[in-house]
Amino acid sequence: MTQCEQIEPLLTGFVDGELVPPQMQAVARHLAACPKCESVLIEFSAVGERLREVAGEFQLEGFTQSVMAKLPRPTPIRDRLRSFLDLFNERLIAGTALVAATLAIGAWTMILVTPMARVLMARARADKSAVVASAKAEVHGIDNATRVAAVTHRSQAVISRLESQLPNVAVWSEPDTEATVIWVPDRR
Amino acid sequence: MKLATSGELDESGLIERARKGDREAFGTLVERYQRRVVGVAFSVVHNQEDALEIAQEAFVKAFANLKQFESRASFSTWLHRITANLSIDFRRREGRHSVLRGEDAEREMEKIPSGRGDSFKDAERGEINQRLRKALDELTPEHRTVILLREVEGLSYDEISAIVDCPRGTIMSRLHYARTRLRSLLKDLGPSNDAM
Repeated sequence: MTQCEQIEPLLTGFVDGELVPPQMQAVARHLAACPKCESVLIEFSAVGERLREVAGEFQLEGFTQSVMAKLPRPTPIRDRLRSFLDLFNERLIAGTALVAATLAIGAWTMILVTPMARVLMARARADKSAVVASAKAEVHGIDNATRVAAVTHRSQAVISRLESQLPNVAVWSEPDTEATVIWVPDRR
Repeated sequence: MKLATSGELDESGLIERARKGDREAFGTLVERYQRRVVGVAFSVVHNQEDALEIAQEAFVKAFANLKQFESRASFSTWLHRITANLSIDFRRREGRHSVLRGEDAEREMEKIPSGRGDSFKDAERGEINQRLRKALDELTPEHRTVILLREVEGLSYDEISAIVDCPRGTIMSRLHYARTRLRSLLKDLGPSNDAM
């Protein structure tokens, strides 16, 4: 690599004064002895001059006023206070409505839903006890067809038709243990 | 609107007042930096009308975000960075990777005041400007931006590096490429009257 090839990439930094001192000195020494690189440097400077010429001046008349007109206007204290109170009122109304609705739902639940639920639950418990009692009684000796029909109808236990049609077999579910019981008598 | 004159207040004082919502103080900052901010926008979008609009938007954005500005940093660099980001977004949005060709370039050139009365020189200058504009259009947006920021706006490599978010070495190599390319494209123009 010739010295010109080494120096040439540094000419940009040299013309801008952006090289470190040792590089500046090296380029300056080379330029003093190399007309070719010196002409490149002159042409680089000329390019800059041309660009500054063509850039001209910008039309900045009224620029500041345009910017200022676009800036958000500060809200007066009175307006800020009013908007705060409006917001507060809106929130107060919404809060009151929410509390009223909650109280109404609570009262409705206490007065109507809860007693009704109690009745239903008691009825369900009674039904369940009856089913279990019936199933147990049936297991201990009542006619098979009647036993299966009772379980199916009252406890909604899962009993397949196949099983119900087979004599001597009983199937019922135990809701307490979530188990299905299949009762088959010993064959003797 | 009465604005404080340039230099009347120090920059940090103006920024502090503007931060508290003092519009007059911010107006002084706008007066102080408008030329450079428009120049930075122009370096990226390469169109004066767009540059003016972007510069206004940059000032409005700066005012809205003054609380986020850290006083230790340079206000001008922060402002230029906002401007460059808006300009780059604009360029992407508008797809203006190679703007001002043909008639558009000529129309834009006519808007640039020559400031001289000699019609022959004006015509000559117009032709040179046109050649230079075309040569600039030959560059990529990245190369054009750095050469304009350096040569027209006079920014240092560190400032350009902060604005376009590139390492200093990349700035130097982009500048070198841009200068070499423009030098080759404008070789037959001869020396600039002002330069020589």
